[in-house]
Amino acid sequence: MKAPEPAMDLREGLCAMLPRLRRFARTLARDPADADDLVQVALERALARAAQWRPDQGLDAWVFGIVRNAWVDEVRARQRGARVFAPEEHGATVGESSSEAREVAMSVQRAMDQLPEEQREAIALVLVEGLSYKEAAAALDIPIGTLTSRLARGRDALQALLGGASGVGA
Amino acid sequence: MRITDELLMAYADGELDAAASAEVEAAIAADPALAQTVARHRALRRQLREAFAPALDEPVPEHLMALVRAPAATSAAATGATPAATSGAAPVADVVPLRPRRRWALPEWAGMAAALALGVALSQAFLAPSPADLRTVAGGALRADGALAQALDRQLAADNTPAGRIALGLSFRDGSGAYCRSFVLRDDRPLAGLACRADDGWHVPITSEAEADTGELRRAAASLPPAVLLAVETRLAGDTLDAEAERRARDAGWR
Repeated sequence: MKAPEPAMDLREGLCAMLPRLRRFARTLARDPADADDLVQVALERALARAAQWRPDQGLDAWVFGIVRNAWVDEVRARQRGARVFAPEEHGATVGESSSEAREVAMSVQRAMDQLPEEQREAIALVLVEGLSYKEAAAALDIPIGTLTSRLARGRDALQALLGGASGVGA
Repeated sequence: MRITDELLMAYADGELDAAASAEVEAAIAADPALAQTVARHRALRRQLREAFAPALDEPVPEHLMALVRAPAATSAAATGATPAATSGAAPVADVVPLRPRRRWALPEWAGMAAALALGVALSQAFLAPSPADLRTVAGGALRADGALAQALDRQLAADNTPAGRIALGLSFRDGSGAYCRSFVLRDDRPLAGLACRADDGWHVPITSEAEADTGELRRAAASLPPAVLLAVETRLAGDTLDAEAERRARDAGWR
Protein backbone atom coordinates (compact mmCIF):
# COMPACT_ATOMS: atom_id res chain seq x y z
CA MET A 1 0.00 0.00 0.00
CA LYS A 2 2.98 2.28 -0.48
CA ALA A 3 2.28 5.52 -2.32
CA PRO A 4 4.35 5.85 -5.52
CA GLU A 5 7.42 8.06 -5.10
CA PRO A 6 8.33 11.03 -7.25
CA ALA A 7 10.64 9.85 -10.00
CA MET A 8 14.33 10.01 -9.21
CA ASP A 9 15.01 12.21 -12.20
CA LEU A 10 12.62 14.80 -10.79
CA ARG A 11 14.38 14.67 -7.42
CA GLU A 12 17.76 14.97 -9.08
CA GLY A 13 16.53 17.87 -11.19
CA LEU A 14 15.17 19.65 -8.12
CA CYS A 15 18.38 19.00 -6.20
CA ALA A 16 20.43 20.53 -8.99
CA MET A 17 18.13 23.55 -9.07
CA LEU A 18 18.27 24.27 -5.34
CA PRO A 19 20.76 27.16 -5.43
CA ARG A 20 18.85 28.85 -8.24
CA LEU A 21 15.53 28.30 -6.50
CA ARG A 22 16.94 29.95 -3.39
CA ARG A 23 18.22 32.85 -5.46
CA PHE A 24 14.87 33.29 -7.20
CA ALA A 25 13.02 33.04 -3.88
CA ARG A 26 15.27 35.80 -2.53
CA THR A 27 14.31 38.13 -5.37
CA LEU A 28 10.66 37.54 -4.53
CA ALA A 29 10.68 37.35 -0.77
CA ARG A 30 13.71 39.49 0.05
CA ASP A 31 14.06 38.19 3.60
CA PRO A 32 16.40 35.17 3.38
CA ALA A 33 14.49 33.12 5.94
CA ASP A 34 11.19 33.80 4.15
CA ALA A 35 12.92 32.83 0.93
CA ASP A 36 13.97 29.45 2.33
CA ASP A 37 10.47 28.83 3.66
CA LEU A 38 9.18 29.65 0.19
CA VAL A 39 11.57 27.15 -1.38
CA GLN A 40 10.47 24.51 1.10
CA VAL A 41 6.79 25.01 0.26
CA ALA A 42 7.57 24.92 -3.45
CA LEU A 43 9.61 21.72 -3.18
CA GLU A 44 6.84 20.01 -1.24
CA ARG A 45 4.31 21.03 -3.86
CA ALA A 46 6.56 19.96 -6.71
CA LEU A 47 7.09 16.55 -5.11
CA ALA A 48 3.37 16.17 -4.40
CA ARG A 49 2.60 16.98 -8.04
CA ALA A 50 5.33 14.81 -9.46
CA ALA A 51 2.79 12.93 -11.54
CA GLN A 52 1.90 16.14 -13.38
CA TRP A 53 5.42 16.71 -14.64
CA ARG A 54 6.64 14.94 -17.74
CA PRO A 55 10.38 14.75 -18.35
CA ASP A 56 9.91 16.24 -21.83
CA GLN A 57 8.53 19.44 -20.29
CA GLY A 58 11.04 22.02 -19.20
CA LEU A 59 11.71 21.52 -15.51
CA ASP A 60 12.79 25.13 -15.00
CA ALA A 61 9.53 26.72 -16.11
CA TRP A 62 7.50 24.21 -14.11
CA VAL A 63 9.39 24.58 -10.85
CA PHE A 64 9.92 28.34 -11.03
CA GLY A 65 6.19 28.65 -11.70
CA ILE A 66 5.46 26.66 -8.55
CA VAL A 67 7.77 28.91 -6.50
CA ARG A 68 6.16 32.02 -7.88
CA ASN A 69 2.61 30.77 -7.26
CA ALA A 70 3.50 29.77 -3.72
CA TRP A 71 4.74 33.31 -3.19
CA VAL A 72 1.50 34.75 -4.59
CA ASP A 73 -0.44 32.55 -2.12
CA GLU A 74 1.73 33.82 0.73
CA VAL A 75 1.32 37.45 -0.29
CA ARG A 76 -2.45 37.01 -0.33
CA ALA A 77 -2.39 35.36 3.07
CA ARG A 78 -0.40 38.30 4.42
CA GLN A 79 -2.81 40.79 2.93
CA ARG A 80 -5.54 39.04 4.88
CA GLY A 81 -3.50 39.72 7.99
CA ALA A 82 -2.50 36.11 8.39
CA ARG A 83 1.21 36.83 8.94
CA VAL A 84 3.46 39.46 10.34
CA PHE A 85 7.14 39.42 9.46
CA ALA A 86 9.96 41.67 10.48
CA PRO A 87 11.83 42.11 7.20
CA GLU A 88 15.56 41.70 7.54
CA GLU A 89 17.86 44.44 6.43
CA HIS A 90 18.54 43.80 2.77
CA GLY A 91 22.09 42.92 1.88
CA ALA A 92 22.63 41.07 5.15
CA THR A 93 23.70 37.98 3.26
CA VAL A 94 25.94 39.59 0.65
CA GLY A 95 28.97 38.18 2.42
CA GLU A 96 32.61 38.58 1.64
CA SER A 97 32.56 40.91 -1.36
CA SER A 98 34.36 44.25 -1.23
CA SER A 99 32.49 47.10 0.40
CA GLU A 100 31.97 48.90 -2.88
CA ALA A 101 30.59 45.77 -4.48
CA ARG A 102 28.40 45.32 -1.40
CA GLU A 103 27.03 48.86 -1.81
CA VAL A 104 26.25 48.31 -5.44
CA ALA A 105 24.61 44.99 -4.65
CA MET A 106 22.47 46.57 -1.96
CA SER A 107 21.35 49.31 -4.26
CA VAL A 108 20.42 46.84 -6.99
CA GLN A 109 18.44 44.74 -4.53
CA ARG A 110 16.73 47.84 -3.17
CA ALA A 111 15.88 48.94 -6.70
CA MET A 112 14.35 45.52 -7.36
CA ASP A 113 12.34 45.88 -4.16
CA GLN A 114 10.78 49.05 -5.56
CA LEU A 115 9.43 47.32 -8.63
CA PRO A 116 5.85 46.13 -8.83
CA GLU A 117 5.67 42.38 -8.18
CA GLU A 118 4.88 41.47 -11.78
CA GLN A 119 7.86 43.38 -13.17
CA ARG A 120 10.19 42.01 -10.51
CA GLU A 121 9.20 38.41 -11.30
CA ALA A 122 9.74 38.91 -15.01
CA ILE A 123 13.17 40.49 -14.45
CA ALA A 124 14.15 37.79 -11.96
CA LEU A 125 13.22 34.91 -14.24
CA VAL A 126 14.77 36.29 -17.43
CA LEU A 127 17.72 38.40 -16.34
CA VAL A 128 18.75 36.67 -13.13
CA GLU A 129 17.72 33.06 -13.65
CA GLY A 130 18.35 33.13 -17.40
CA LEU A 131 15.09 31.62 -18.55
CA SER A 132 14.12 32.23 -22.16
CA TYR A 133 11.12 34.46 -22.82
CA LYS A 134 9.12 31.36 -23.68
CA GLU A 135 10.09 29.55 -20.46
CA ALA A 136 9.47 32.62 -18.31
CA ALA A 137 6.07 33.19 -19.90
CA ALA A 138 5.21 29.52 -19.24
CA ALA A 139 6.33 29.78 -15.62
CA LEU A 140 4.15 32.84 -15.08
CA ASP A 141 1.32 31.47 -17.20
CA ILE A 142 1.10 34.62 -19.33
CA PRO A 143 1.45 35.30 -23.07
CA ILE A 144 4.96 36.09 -24.28
CA GLY A 145 3.83 39.60 -25.28
CA THR A 146 2.79 40.30 -21.69
CA LEU A 147 6.11 38.99 -20.45
CA THR A 148 8.15 41.18 -22.77
CA SER A 149 6.17 44.27 -21.89
CA ARG A 150 6.65 43.64 -18.14
CA LEU A 151 10.32 43.01 -18.78
CA ALA A 152 10.65 46.26 -20.71
CA ARG A 153 8.85 48.29 -18.04
CA GLY A 154 10.89 46.67 -15.30
CA ARG A 155 14.15 47.38 -17.08
CA ASP A 156 13.18 51.01 -17.67
CA ALA A 157 12.29 51.36 -14.01
CA LEU A 158 15.57 49.79 -12.85
CA GLN A 159 17.61 51.95 -15.23
CA ALA A 160 15.88 55.02 -13.82
CA LEU A 161 16.43 53.92 -10.20
CA LEU A 162 20.04 52.95 -10.69
CA GLY A 163 20.79 55.88 -13.01
CA GLY A 164 24.45 56.30 -13.88
CA ALA A 165 25.54 55.35 -10.33
CA SER A 166 27.36 52.21 -11.34
CA GLY A 167 28.18 52.75 -14.97
CA VAL A 168 24.94 51.28 -16.25
CA GLY A 169 24.07 54.38 -18.23
CA ALA A 170 27.58 54.88 -19.61
CA MET B 1 11.60 46.14 -39.47
CA ARG B 2 10.92 48.84 -36.92
CA ILE B 3 13.63 48.86 -34.30
CA THR B 4 11.63 49.17 -31.12
CA ASP B 5 13.14 49.08 -27.65
CA GLU B 6 11.56 45.68 -27.10
CA LEU B 7 13.26 44.38 -30.20
CA LEU B 8 16.60 45.67 -28.99
CA MET B 9 15.91 44.09 -25.63
CA ALA B 10 15.13 40.76 -27.27
CA TYR B 11 18.32 41.05 -29.29
CA ALA B 12 20.35 41.82 -26.18
CA ASP B 13 18.80 38.76 -24.50
CA GLY B 14 19.63 36.46 -27.39
CA GLU B 15 16.00 35.80 -28.21
CA LEU B 16 16.06 36.67 -31.91
CA ASP B 17 16.63 34.20 -34.71
CA ALA B 18 19.48 34.64 -37.16
CA ALA B 19 17.49 36.65 -39.70
CA ALA B 20 16.06 39.09 -37.18
CA SER B 21 19.44 39.46 -35.45
CA ALA B 22 21.04 40.35 -38.77
CA GLU B 23 18.46 43.09 -39.33
CA VAL B 24 19.06 44.55 -35.90
CA GLU B 25 22.81 44.45 -36.40
CA ALA B 26 22.44 46.29 -39.67
CA ALA B 27 20.33 48.94 -37.93
CA ILE B 28 22.91 49.24 -35.15
CA ALA B 29 25.69 49.73 -37.68
CA ALA B 30 23.75 52.67 -39.10
CA ASP B 31 22.83 54.21 -35.72
CA PRO B 32 25.32 54.08 -32.81
CA ALA B 33 22.66 55.15 -30.29
CA LEU B 34 21.08 51.73 -30.76
CA ALA B 35 24.36 50.09 -29.82
CA GLN B 36 24.30 52.05 -26.57
CA THR B 37 20.82 50.80 -25.76
CA VAL B 38 21.88 47.21 -26.30
CA ALA B 39 24.97 47.76 -24.16
CA ARG B 40 22.79 49.19 -21.36
CA HIS B 41 20.51 46.16 -21.45
CA ARG B 42 23.46 43.79 -21.22
CA ALA B 43 25.08 45.79 -18.45
CA LEU B 44 21.90 45.70 -16.40
CA ARG B 45 21.70 41.93 -16.77
CA ARG B 46 25.29 41.60 -15.58
CA GLN B 47 24.63 43.88 -12.66
CA LEU B 48 21.54 41.95 -11.60
CA ARG B 49 23.30 38.62 -11.77
CA GLU B 50 26.20 39.95 -9.71
CA ALA B 51 23.88 41.41 -7.11
CA PHE B 52 22.08 38.11 -6.60
CA ALA B 53 25.08 35.83 -7.03
CA PRO B 54 25.74 35.48 -3.28
CA ALA B 55 22.48 33.57 -2.84
CA LEU B 56 23.69 31.15 -5.48
CA ASP B 57 27.03 30.58 -3.82
CA GLU B 58 25.73 29.88 -0.34
CA PRO B 59 25.66 26.26 0.80
CA VAL B 60 22.11 24.95 0.60
CA PRO B 61 20.56 24.42 4.06
CA GLU B 62 20.31 20.80 5.08
CA HIS B 63 16.53 20.76 5.55
CA LEU B 64 16.03 21.71 1.89
CA MET B 65 18.51 19.09 0.71
CA ALA B 66 16.71 16.52 2.83
CA LEU B 67 13.39 17.24 1.11
CA VAL B 68 14.65 16.33 -2.31
CA ARG B 69 16.91 13.56 -1.13
CA ALA B 70 14.71 11.53 1.26
CA PRO B 71 11.87 9.28 0.04
CA ALA B 72 8.45 10.89 0.46
CA ALA B 73 7.34 8.21 2.91
CA THR B 74 9.47 9.41 5.83
CA SER B 75 7.21 11.38 8.13
CA ALA B 76 9.41 14.49 8.23
CA ALA B 77 9.24 14.98 4.47
CA ALA B 78 5.63 13.87 4.21
CA THR B 79 4.37 16.32 6.77
CA GLY B 80 6.84 19.08 6.01
CA ALA B 81 8.44 19.54 9.41
CA THR B 82 9.03 23.20 10.14
CA PRO B 83 12.53 24.51 9.50
CA ALA B 84 12.92 25.20 13.20
CA ALA B 85 12.45 21.54 13.94
CA THR B 86 14.76 20.05 11.37
CA SER B 87 17.53 22.51 10.73
CA GLY B 88 20.27 24.07 12.78
CA ALA B 89 20.30 27.25 10.65
CA ALA B 90 20.28 30.05 13.18
CA PRO B 91 17.77 32.72 12.06
CA VAL B 92 15.12 30.27 10.94
CA ALA B 93 13.76 29.51 14.39
CA ASP B 94 12.75 33.15 14.81
CA VAL B 95 10.65 33.19 11.67
CA VAL B 96 6.98 32.28 11.54
CA PRO B 97 6.74 29.38 9.07
CA LEU B 98 4.78 30.09 5.93
CA ARG B 99 2.49 27.16 6.60
CA PRO B 100 0.98 26.48 10.01
CA ARG B 101 1.30 22.99 11.48
CA ARG B 102 -1.58 21.98 13.68
CA ARG B 103 -1.95 18.78 15.61
CA TRP B 104 -5.44 17.48 16.28
CA ALA B 105 -5.96 16.52 19.89
CA LEU B 106 -7.10 12.89 20.17
CA PRO B 107 -8.71 11.46 23.28
CA GLU B 108 -6.96 9.11 25.72
CA TRP B 109 -7.30 5.42 24.97
CA ALA B 110 -6.21 3.79 28.21
CA GLY B 111 -8.51 0.90 29.20
CA MET B 112 -10.71 1.07 26.12
CA ALA B 113 -8.90 -1.40 23.92
CA ALA B 114 -10.72 -4.58 24.99
CA ALA B 115 -14.16 -3.01 24.85
CA LEU B 116 -13.38 -1.53 21.48
CA ALA B 117 -12.24 -4.83 20.02
CA LEU B 118 -15.58 -6.39 20.91
CA GLY B 119 -17.48 -3.39 19.64
CA VAL B 120 -15.60 -3.48 16.36
CA ALA B 121 -16.26 -7.20 15.87
CA LEU B 122 -19.98 -6.65 16.45
CA SER B 123 -20.08 -3.68 14.11
CA GLN B 124 -18.47 -5.63 11.33
CA ALA B 125 -20.84 -8.54 11.83
CA PHE B 126 -24.07 -6.60 11.85
CA LEU B 127 -23.55 -3.76 9.46
CA ALA B 128 -23.94 -4.87 5.90
CA PRO B 129 -22.22 -2.29 3.71
CA SER B 130 -24.54 -0.49 1.36
CA PRO B 131 -23.82 -1.85 -2.12
CA ALA B 132 -23.52 1.71 -3.42
CA ASP B 133 -20.69 2.72 -1.08
CA LEU B 134 -18.68 -0.31 -0.15
CA ARG B 135 -17.91 -3.67 -1.66
CA THR B 136 -16.36 -6.76 -0.18
CA VAL B 137 -13.40 -8.33 -1.92
CA ALA B 138 -11.93 -11.81 -1.60
CA GLY B 139 -10.85 -12.38 1.98
CA GLY B 140 -13.59 -10.19 3.41
CA ALA B 141 -11.85 -6.83 3.15
CA LEU B 142 -13.83 -3.74 2.22
CA ARG B 143 -13.22 -1.34 -0.62
CA ALA B 144 -14.88 2.03 -1.10
CA ASP B 145 -17.13 2.14 -4.11
CA GLY B 146 -19.61 4.43 -5.86
CA ALA B 147 -20.47 7.67 -4.11
CA LEU B 148 -18.11 7.01 -1.22
CA ALA B 149 -15.16 6.38 -3.50
CA GLN B 150 -15.91 9.58 -5.37
CA ALA B 151 -16.20 11.56 -2.15
CA LEU B 152 -12.90 10.17 -0.89
CA ASP B 153 -11.26 11.17 -4.16
CA ARG B 154 -12.71 14.66 -4.50
CA GLN B 155 -14.44 15.99 -1.40
CA LEU B 156 -12.55 18.11 1.07
CA ALA B 157 -13.52 18.45 4.73
CA ALA B 158 -14.26 22.09 3.88
CA ASP B 159 -16.89 20.88 1.39
CA ASN B 160 -18.94 19.08 4.04
CA THR B 161 -22.50 20.35 4.42
CA PRO B 162 -24.98 19.59 7.20
CA ALA B 163 -27.36 17.99 4.68
CA GLY B 164 -24.69 16.09 2.76
CA ARG B 165 -24.84 12.31 2.97
CA ILE B 166 -21.09 11.81 3.09
CA ALA B 167 -18.87 13.82 5.41
CA LEU B 168 -15.08 13.70 5.30
CA GLY B 169 -13.06 14.05 8.46
CA LEU B 170 -9.36 13.82 9.13
CA SER B 171 -6.82 13.25 6.40
CA PHE B 172 -3.28 12.08 7.09
CA ARG B 173 -0.47 9.85 5.90
CA ASP B 174 0.13 6.48 7.48
CA GLY B 175 3.53 4.97 8.17
CA SER B 176 3.88 3.67 4.61
CA GLY B 177 3.19 7.11 3.16
CA ALA B 178 -0.30 6.27 1.92
CA TYR B 179 -3.09 8.78 2.49
CA CYS B 180 -5.91 7.83 4.85
CA ARG B 181 -9.17 9.70 5.44
CA SER B 182 -11.93 9.26 7.98
CA PHE B 183 -15.52 9.56 6.80
CA VAL B 184 -19.11 9.29 7.95
CA LEU B 185 -21.98 7.99 5.84
CA ARG B 186 -25.00 9.79 7.18
CA ASP B 187 -27.66 7.23 6.46
CA ASP B 188 -30.46 6.15 8.81
CA ARG B 189 -27.86 4.13 10.68
CA PRO B 190 -24.83 6.38 10.31
CA LEU B 191 -21.60 4.56 9.53
CA ALA B 192 -18.16 5.98 10.21
CA GLY B 193 -14.98 4.54 8.82
CA LEU B 194 -11.40 4.98 7.78
CA ALA B 195 -10.25 4.61 4.19
CA CYS B 196 -6.62 4.37 3.00
CA ARG B 197 -5.57 4.92 -0.59
CA ALA B 198 -3.86 2.11 -2.42
CA ASP B 199 -3.08 1.56 -6.09
CA ASP B 200 -6.34 -0.29 -6.60
CA GLY B 201 -8.56 2.24 -4.80
CA TRP B 202 -9.59 3.06 -1.24
CA HIS B 203 -9.23 0.22 1.25
CA VAL B 204 -11.58 0.48 4.22
CA PRO B 205 -9.97 -1.30 7.17
CA ILE B 206 -12.57 -0.21 9.69
CA THR B 207 -16.19 0.82 9.87
CA SER B 208 -18.22 1.48 12.98
CA GLU B 209 -21.64 2.74 13.87
CA ALA B 210 -21.54 6.44 14.47
CA GLU B 211 -23.81 8.55 16.59
CA ALA B 212 -26.37 10.64 14.72
CA ASP B 213 -24.35 13.57 13.50
CA THR B 214 -24.74 16.83 15.36
CA GLY B 215 -22.84 19.00 12.96
CA GLU B 216 -20.01 19.25 10.49
CA LEU B 217 -17.27 16.74 10.80
CA ARG B 218 -14.53 19.13 9.93
CA ARG B 219 -13.03 19.78 13.35
CA ALA B 220 -14.91 17.06 15.15
CA ALA B 221 -12.33 14.37 15.69
CA ALA B 222 -14.15 13.75 18.97
CA SER B 223 -17.42 12.86 17.23
CA LEU B 224 -15.93 9.91 15.37
CA PRO B 225 -16.66 6.61 17.08
CA PRO B 226 -13.82 5.34 19.27
CA ALA B 227 -13.07 2.41 16.95
CA VAL B 228 -12.34 4.73 14.06
CA LEU B 229 -10.34 7.12 16.20
CA LEU B 230 -8.22 4.25 17.45
CA ALA B 231 -7.60 3.14 13.87
CA VAL B 232 -6.51 6.70 13.05
CA GLU B 233 -4.23 6.86 16.07
CA THR B 234 -2.47 3.59 15.29
CA ARG B 235 -1.83 4.59 11.67
CA LEU B 236 -1.04 8.28 12.00
CA ALA B 237 2.54 9.15 11.00
CA GLY B 238 3.18 12.84 11.59
CA ASP B 239 0.41 15.44 11.70
CA THR B 240 -3.05 15.29 10.20
CA LEU B 241 -3.31 17.50 7.13
CA ASP B 242 -4.50 21.06 7.51
CA ALA B 243 -6.99 22.47 5.00
CA GLU B 244 -4.37 23.56 2.49
CA ALA B 245 -2.41 20.31 2.65
CA GLU B 246 -5.64 18.37 2.24
CA ARG B 247 -6.47 20.35 -0.88
CA ARG B 248 -3.01 19.78 -2.32
CA ALA B 249 -3.21 16.07 -1.61
CA ARG B 250 -6.61 15.92 -3.30
CA ASP B 251 -5.29 17.82 -6.32
CA ALA B 252 -2.41 15.37 -6.55
CA GLY B 253 -4.83 12.43 -6.57
CA TRP B 254 -3.85 11.28 -3.05
CA ARG B 255 -0.53 10.02 -4.37
